[in-house]
Amino acid sequence: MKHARGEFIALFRARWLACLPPSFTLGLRLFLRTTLQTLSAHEKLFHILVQLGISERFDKTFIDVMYDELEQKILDSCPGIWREPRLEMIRKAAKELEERWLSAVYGHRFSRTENNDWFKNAMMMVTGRLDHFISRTLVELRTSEIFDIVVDFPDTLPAIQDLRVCCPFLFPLSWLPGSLVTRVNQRILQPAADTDDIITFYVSLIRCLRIIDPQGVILHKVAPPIRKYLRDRPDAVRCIVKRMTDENESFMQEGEQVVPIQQVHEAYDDYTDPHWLPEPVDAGADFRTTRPMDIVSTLVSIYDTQDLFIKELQHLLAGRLLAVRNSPLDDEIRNVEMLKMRFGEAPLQVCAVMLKDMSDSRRTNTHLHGEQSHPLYTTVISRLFWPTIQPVPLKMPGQFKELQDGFEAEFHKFKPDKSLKWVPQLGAVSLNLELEDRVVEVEATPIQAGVIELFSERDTWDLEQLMQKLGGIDRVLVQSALDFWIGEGVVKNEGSRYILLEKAEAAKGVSQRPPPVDEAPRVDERDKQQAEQMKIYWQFIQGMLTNLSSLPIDRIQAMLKFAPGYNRSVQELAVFLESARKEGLVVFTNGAWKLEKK
Amino acid sequence: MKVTVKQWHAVAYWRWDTGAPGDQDANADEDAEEDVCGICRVSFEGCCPTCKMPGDDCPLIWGQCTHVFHMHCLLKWLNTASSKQQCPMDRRPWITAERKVDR
Repeated sequence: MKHARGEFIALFRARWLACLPPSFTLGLRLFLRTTLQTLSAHEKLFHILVQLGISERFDKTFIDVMYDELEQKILDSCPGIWREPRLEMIRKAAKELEERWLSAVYGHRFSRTENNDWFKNAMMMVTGRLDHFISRTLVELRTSEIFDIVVDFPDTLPAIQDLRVCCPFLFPLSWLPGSLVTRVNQRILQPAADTDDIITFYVSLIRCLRIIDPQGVILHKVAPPIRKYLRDRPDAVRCIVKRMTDENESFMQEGEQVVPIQQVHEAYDDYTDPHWLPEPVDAGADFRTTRPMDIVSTLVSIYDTQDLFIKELQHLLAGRLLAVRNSPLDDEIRNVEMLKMRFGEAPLQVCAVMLKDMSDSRRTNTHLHGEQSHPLYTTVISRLFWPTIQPVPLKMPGQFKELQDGFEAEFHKFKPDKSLKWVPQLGAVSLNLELEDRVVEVEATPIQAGVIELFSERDTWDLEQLMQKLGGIDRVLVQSALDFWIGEGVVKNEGSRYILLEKAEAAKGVSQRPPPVDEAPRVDERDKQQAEQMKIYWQFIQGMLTNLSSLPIDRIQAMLKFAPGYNRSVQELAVFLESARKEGLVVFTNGAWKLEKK
Repeated sequence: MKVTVKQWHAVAYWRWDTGAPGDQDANADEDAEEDVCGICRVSFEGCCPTCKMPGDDCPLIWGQCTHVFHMHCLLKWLNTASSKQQCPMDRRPWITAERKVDR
């Protein structure tokens, strides 16, 4: 009897189930999803499903329902939420769902108390698969968001940590580099992107990937385009150096050690390291286990030489030192000491000398003027250790000259062996102008101060006279100084003459006050210096063009690379050759450069 | 109008007062070939190979023969046997000159 019944059921199920169309699976899946919310109300339903053999036949669908539900949960609760950990929450939800669902669907057949082991085993298997599914879904989601996560790092640390927990479950993270590189190319490596932002991004990227993938395989794949791009950005060095020395900016994380940069280039083989790991299987052919580097070393290693950095540091430090008035130098000294640990003592010797000049100057000034304040404070620098300063033939007029002479005489008494040469265009002056109806307090450059000093002798000047009085300096410099005073409403322009305004006039000039020009001369100097250096290489170029008649630019660049200290890019060379062509020194034909025949 | 200078932060660089002709002329020496120590070939305003800080830490020494060197360079030379206490430039006996403090 029992046998017949079993046969009937089997036959019924086989026939009946065979009638179901393929789309039934999908329908069932969707239907089951709707029951999830009110599981306890459907006890009977699941009983029937079991009776009909559907639970057995479509068991995969029953599991799929959980996948669907979890995926939904992840997509609902995770995208864009990076500031709090999500993984734990989802895992917990999964556990709870699984328990509810499995006991509702299958649990009734086996009373839990009796068949505890079976239930546990079944659970364990499903749990493992669900966990893998969660990890994969979450990693896929975060991978698509990785760019923005990196941009917002370190606020997004929780998301990164979730990723780190997930990643080991998944064999090669092959898709992460690909999607990241595309996004990076689209968003960051663009002419419109600020160099500072690129560096910030790179730093965040390094930090993020170090958490996700400590061996650095992904970084090794993602970083080269960024590094290459930064190398070609002319202001990258300046930005890096600026941030290296900026106290608010920290390239260093807690507990990170300063690694002297020289060591970085050596091969890294530490046979005694108990934590040694073989190269990961998904590493590229050129992957090398690199010595753990801190951020600064990584940034510096973008370039082949440190010289660029040292030079930039020197410039930056010079600018900063000459800008500080009487504030203590502790910050700068600490900075230089820090950098010494990285670059070594020798390259930073110039910076040490600069700092010493500053403290010596302070001592000299106190010695000469005593403790009471004196209008003139002179920084006496050791010329060879500071960036080259282009001489400007500025002669300070009137009381400025007297101050200078007075100081020079005192200095000579103090240090009989030494004499002073003024660098009149550098520095700053704070002035008080007492006019008939008002007092103007102003911070000015020495040139501006010189100009206004001349106006105190006489009310009306024209440009030529001013230029002559100031020692024959460039017209542009005088002009911009006059513009400054016009902007201050102290001087007005009438035809070719400039007139002092003893009484203020309706201030129409104030609104169109020209932008400050302080920065400009420095930049100028740099360009001039570069041109100077290029002159040396011109001789090389001339030589090779004489010997080989005509050469394409790439060949010239390749050969110049053999010259000591040559570090120009092809673009810079092209600009230089173009200007040489304008001067009629070379001609450009058929894609090659030739010397102009004399 | 009266211009009062409250504070002027100026910049100057120092040179050794070597007493060479033209030294007083402010413009002439800008382009003039830099004076270098005859021993180490480093500018007087630089420092000798053993020093790190220029200036007072690495002073010059004047001989009666009018030759000038980094003091450290010359003392090192005089300490060698082959120097025979002579000026390395003209082989006259080295006599350190009194420096006139005033120009």
